[in-house]
Amino acid sequence: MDFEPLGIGIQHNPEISEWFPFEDQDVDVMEVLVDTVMGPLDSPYVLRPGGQAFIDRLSSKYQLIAHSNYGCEFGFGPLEETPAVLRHVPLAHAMNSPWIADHCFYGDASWVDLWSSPVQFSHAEAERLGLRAKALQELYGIPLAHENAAYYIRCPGSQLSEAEFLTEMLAISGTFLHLDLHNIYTNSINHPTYDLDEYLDTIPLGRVVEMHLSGGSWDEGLYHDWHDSQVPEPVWELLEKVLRRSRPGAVILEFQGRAHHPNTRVMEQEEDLAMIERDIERAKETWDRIYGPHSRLTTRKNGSGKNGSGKNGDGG
Amino acid sequence: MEAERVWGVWRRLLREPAFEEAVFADDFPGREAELGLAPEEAEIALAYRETPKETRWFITNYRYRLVSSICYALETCAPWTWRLLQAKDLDMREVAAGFLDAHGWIDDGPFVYGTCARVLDHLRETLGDEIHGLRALIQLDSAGVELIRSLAGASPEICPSDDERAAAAADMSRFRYQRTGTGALLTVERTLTPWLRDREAIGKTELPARPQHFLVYLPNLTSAVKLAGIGPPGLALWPLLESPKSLDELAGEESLAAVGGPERYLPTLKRYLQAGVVRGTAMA
Repeated sequence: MDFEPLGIGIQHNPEISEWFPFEDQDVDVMEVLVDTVMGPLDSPYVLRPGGQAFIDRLSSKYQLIAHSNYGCEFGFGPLEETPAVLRHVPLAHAMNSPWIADHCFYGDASWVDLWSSPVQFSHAEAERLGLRAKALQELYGIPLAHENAAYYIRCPGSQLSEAEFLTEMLAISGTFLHLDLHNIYTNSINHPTYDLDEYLDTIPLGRVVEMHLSGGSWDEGLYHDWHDSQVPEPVWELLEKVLRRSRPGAVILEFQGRAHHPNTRVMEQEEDLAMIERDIERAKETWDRIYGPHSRLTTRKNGSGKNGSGKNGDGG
Repeated sequence: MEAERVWGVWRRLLREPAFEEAVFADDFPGREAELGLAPEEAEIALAYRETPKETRWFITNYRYRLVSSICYALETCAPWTWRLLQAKDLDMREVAAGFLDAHGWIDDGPFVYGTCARVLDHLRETLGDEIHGLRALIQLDSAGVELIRSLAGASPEICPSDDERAAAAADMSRFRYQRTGTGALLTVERTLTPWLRDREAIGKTELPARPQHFLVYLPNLTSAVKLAGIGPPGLALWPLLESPKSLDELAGEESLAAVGGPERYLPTLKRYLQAGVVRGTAMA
């Protein structure tokens, strides 16, 4: 399936928003973490106070893409009681998002264990999670894509490779993929038998809606998906490969603060602003080189895109 | 291995430091019954034990994030308490870790206000006598938290529209008045005005040891919690409006006569209407 090609964006991350000028960026789309604007389930808020004003301000400048971290849809409780259904569905609509991505982690009325809990790559879970994903996509009414996880260990009881699992799950769900290139790069470093070429040959690349690019760091002999560094060269190479073999809707860069571990490098304006902006420019250059100079939302000749200056694109 | 059973064992590894240490101890195979593990669960625990470095990275990350999550709950849902603790230069990650050590490394995820309520209870018990003004601010924030939680799932129609509010205040003899459930009255043990008006003073000046009364309310279900100071007429009026009352019925209440009669309490009733915490229903 082809998606409307939107282009290059960045994930709006509140952990660095004090110094990084998100709303001045010349990008085609802005990815918004729905969890940062959602109201808690034990409150009357669908959007937290101030959330609507935030969405309105961003959407006046950018096409927004919703990104779901803590939907908890891949847990073991009733789907209808999850934040995904109760909050993320209405929020994706409020943002007028063309699709939404979630994550292949377990969560059950909990959040922070999510990043430490990759789903089990088994036939039984491919079926169970495929059916839940199918039901959730119907509720969303827009394509639901699943972001692949970075993990230090596979969930015990896994029978399949990650790529085989995702492929099998999608065959049941009819949903899509959000391919995080740094996550598969991280896994290929930390897991000796994790083969990137085999991964890309196995997953249905035609179902890749969106991709993430980011960087990470080494610590205590493991490589970590900490989003605290520039995008490494091997990940740029992966981007070129996948762009040539698929047609995603967007490529999004991710940078964040010290979210997961005290040893994460804390990014700072003086050192990192220029680095982030260089990575954005390189992503745009890569996309344009492969898909053409007028293939992004802000560079199309019909001038249909907004851009960071708050004006509609003039057709490049 | 059944995935849900794996999840259960993994949850214990994340949440129970003692369980984690037992699984990685030299004498673990053999302690399964003591740890409450069924045979398949023991097999799962052994699987995690085989990769100690990687498993512990996941657990460390979970606990780091959970400490951050507790700080987030407090900062977002109990802003006054948060400001005081910050003014006292407390290491908030240490405070959060202390709460988790005492009550379990459990994540309530999307139930942020419930998490905050538990943290406030803990702070009241552990620091309430040590930090001047903390108990009073916890009272204030707790009232807001409980109000928010009570309104989870409420329909937006619980709040009167602007037109309803205006009509009920314009021709009051035609209406009966009743609380909507979108507000709560609160008495705190100290007068908080010096800190509420000047945030730079929080934790730096002495609060008068006189009780102060507040209305804690949501003017609508998308608003943050609001505060309003309440005097004797408001205090007397509030319990009477649990059930619908007309002006004539209010005029017969001794408690309202004691605070000076309609001249004193009608302006407060209008403030309650404006705040949406009281609704007027037209009499037949």
